[in-house]
Amino acid sequence: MTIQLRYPKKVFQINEKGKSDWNDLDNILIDDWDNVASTNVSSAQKPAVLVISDFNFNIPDDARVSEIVIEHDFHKDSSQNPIKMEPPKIKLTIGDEEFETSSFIDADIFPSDRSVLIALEDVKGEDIKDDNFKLEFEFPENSSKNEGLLFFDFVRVRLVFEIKKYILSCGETNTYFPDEDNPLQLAVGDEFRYSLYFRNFNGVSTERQEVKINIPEGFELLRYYFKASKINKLTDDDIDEELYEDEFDKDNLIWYPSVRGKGSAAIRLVLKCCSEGLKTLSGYTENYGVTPNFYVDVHPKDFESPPNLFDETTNIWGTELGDDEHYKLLNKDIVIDVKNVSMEFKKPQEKVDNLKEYCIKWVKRELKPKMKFKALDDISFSINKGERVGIIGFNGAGKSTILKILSGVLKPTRGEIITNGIVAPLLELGAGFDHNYSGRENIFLNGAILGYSREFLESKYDEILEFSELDDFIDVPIKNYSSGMVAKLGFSVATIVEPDVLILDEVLSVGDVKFQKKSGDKLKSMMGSGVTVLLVSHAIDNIRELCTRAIWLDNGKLVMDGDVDYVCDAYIEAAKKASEEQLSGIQLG
Amino acid sequence: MFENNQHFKNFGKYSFLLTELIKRDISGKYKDSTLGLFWSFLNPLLSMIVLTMVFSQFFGGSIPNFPVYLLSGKLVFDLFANATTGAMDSIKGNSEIIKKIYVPKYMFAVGIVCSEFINFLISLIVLIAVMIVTGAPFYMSLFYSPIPLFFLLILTMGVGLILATATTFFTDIKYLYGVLIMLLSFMTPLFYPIEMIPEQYLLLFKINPLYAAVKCFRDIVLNGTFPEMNYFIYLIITSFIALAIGIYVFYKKQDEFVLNI
Repeated sequence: MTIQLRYPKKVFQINEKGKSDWNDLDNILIDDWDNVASTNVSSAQKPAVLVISDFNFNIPDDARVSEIVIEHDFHKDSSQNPIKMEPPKIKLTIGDEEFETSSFIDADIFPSDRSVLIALEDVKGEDIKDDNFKLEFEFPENSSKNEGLLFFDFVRVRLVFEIKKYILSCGETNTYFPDEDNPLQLAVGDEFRYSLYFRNFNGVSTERQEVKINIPEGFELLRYYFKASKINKLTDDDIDEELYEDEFDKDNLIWYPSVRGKGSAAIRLVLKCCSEGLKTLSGYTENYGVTPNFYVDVHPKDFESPPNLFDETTNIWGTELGDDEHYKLLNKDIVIDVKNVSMEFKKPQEKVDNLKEYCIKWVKRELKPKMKFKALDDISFSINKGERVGIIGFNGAGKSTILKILSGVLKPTRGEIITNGIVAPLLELGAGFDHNYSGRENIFLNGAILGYSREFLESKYDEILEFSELDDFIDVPIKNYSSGMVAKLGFSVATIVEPDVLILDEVLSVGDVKFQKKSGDKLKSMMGSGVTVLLVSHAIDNIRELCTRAIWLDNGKLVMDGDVDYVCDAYIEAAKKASEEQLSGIQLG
Repeated sequence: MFENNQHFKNFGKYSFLLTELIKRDISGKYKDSTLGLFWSFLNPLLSMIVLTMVFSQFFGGSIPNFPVYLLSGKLVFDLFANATTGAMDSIKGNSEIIKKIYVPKYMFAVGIVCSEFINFLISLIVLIAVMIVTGAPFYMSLFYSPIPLFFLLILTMGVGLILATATTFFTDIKYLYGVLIMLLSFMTPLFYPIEMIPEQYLLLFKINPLYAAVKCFRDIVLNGTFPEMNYFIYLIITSFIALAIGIYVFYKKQDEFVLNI
């Protein structure tokens, strides 16, 4: 809101017959108590109507005028037989529109400041230029029988208007705003989102605006997003098309908001806390103001940050989704699709292990039919590329069965499994090793069993040899190896592929302590490179550490499928009620 | 048609496994022995010498060049016997792999049949050597010899697949087959002439496709002629029937193997 006080440059009277003329009208243009305009009014006579204009308001054409306050003074002479004059009618003309009001208190012998207020709507700066803005003062007739002087001292117009076309604000989607008393509490290493909104208020600026964003030392800008532009009401004729687009100068932290006919432009910065201390962020435009300070209190690294009340995650912008991990996974290709898979095993109810017994029982008709045992019962789930899924469940829940089905060892009784890409099941190391073969020969035999080609194995041979640390032993038959050496060799061959899907039964750790670390690192690097991972483990901690999603099986049925922590928590809760047999070997972490 | 493509692709992917399995089976055949692969020569040679010594007294008179007659029959029969027995054991013998890793299971059966066939080819050198020593004539017809051998391979493969499937479900077949092979070895005129068989049982011997295979091979090697057509066609028909049944039952039942081994 801006107020502007202006004096008129032009004043004249409408001379009508029977009305008294004003003298020294120019004195109205001067605001002092000495020089006044005056008119001698006879009894029952009206003073001439005063027309005052040309205030030379200096406001932008598109500023919105909300109020006009007309300050003026009239008074009468202090003779013994004064006139009696009621307040004048004031008529304001803006273009074609007329607003009428009247002043107050009869003319007194003392000068006094009078002001009347006229509220306006839909009046802009361009409407009140020059002659378009006119005031008329029409006094009533002198109701006394005396004749005397009426003075008119001055007219000032106070213009109340809004020149802001835009509002720069911050964090408008939150009721909570981190101020000095309640700053955002974060630890070093935390990330948070700081958003600025540049919203048009009245009218459209066709000029590029600069919003300077003040980010103090100790924050690292990770990413930024612009709010996707809505349909722009502006046409090409209005502004350059380039201005439709947001721009952000990362080095100087200057945002050039898109020019829009409607709605707000917004930028969201994802910042990382790098150093401790209370810091403030703000945004600033030359024309449209400054945002309130956004306070962030950064604590040491191990500080446990309270929930970030300011976090705007409920209001995720479309542009942001491109970087959202979960969203990306949703849109990735499905690498494993498990459709209504059931697996039945036939389990004899009694053990008949020789033919004699079998025949006797058959003759006596004592043979009981084999019992069907459902290891998996109508399981369906799909795994997208890059997901790391842990499968948890008590003993006998069907975890290993599903892995065997996925790796192709078992064929489901019903249902279908579709896998895309290279699937590397690391369920068994060194399968099919021939003990009379040397390490070198076993690399090729085992590699062939895993489905690798000769060319592939030859090209990777040196790598396998180096990783296995077998050196000269490679040409010795493996029957002379220690079990650790065999395991190392098996691990080295199995992990030489770059699979799309990695299937693991427990996190394999083989060999001595040094090799355990090496093999663990190797697995982690395989998992890290966007590989889809399916891990069965009894150690919930491993699942939590390595997976993003967990699937909980119980008695061959899918109990829960979702975020790893959520599922693991529920699982641990259920484990408290589980029997000892179900839990043997399971580490709940 | 698409499914066939899929199978061919899979075969291509695991073709290296087949060569590795053949290598393993061959090197494993005489493992821990000092002479190793040399036994592939020695074995048929020694057994031929023994059998010649024994049976040439009985049948030698009616059969010209008894050693070559015996060896040509015995090599063919041994190929069939060894390969089918090997294929029968191949699924159970590799259960540790099959239970843990996906591998096309027929590879194990095909691998052992192929390795036995290679073994057979090696021992053919013995046959050639014996032919030279006994002064047997080398006919141009020897160039035909791959033809019946190919169908013998088909027959062996088919029977091998059937046995591999059956043994997985009924272990007893393994022991039964040992007896059956012995019976079959007598039902095939290896060391006696077919003329010995009384007329009324002749048909029983002639429906034995192995006899057809042996007969075809001997026609080429000993008589220097193209195999007698009715035996040759019978060999072709039975070999393809055996292979078709073998592939069918194996394919039908292979998903259940893992549950039974």
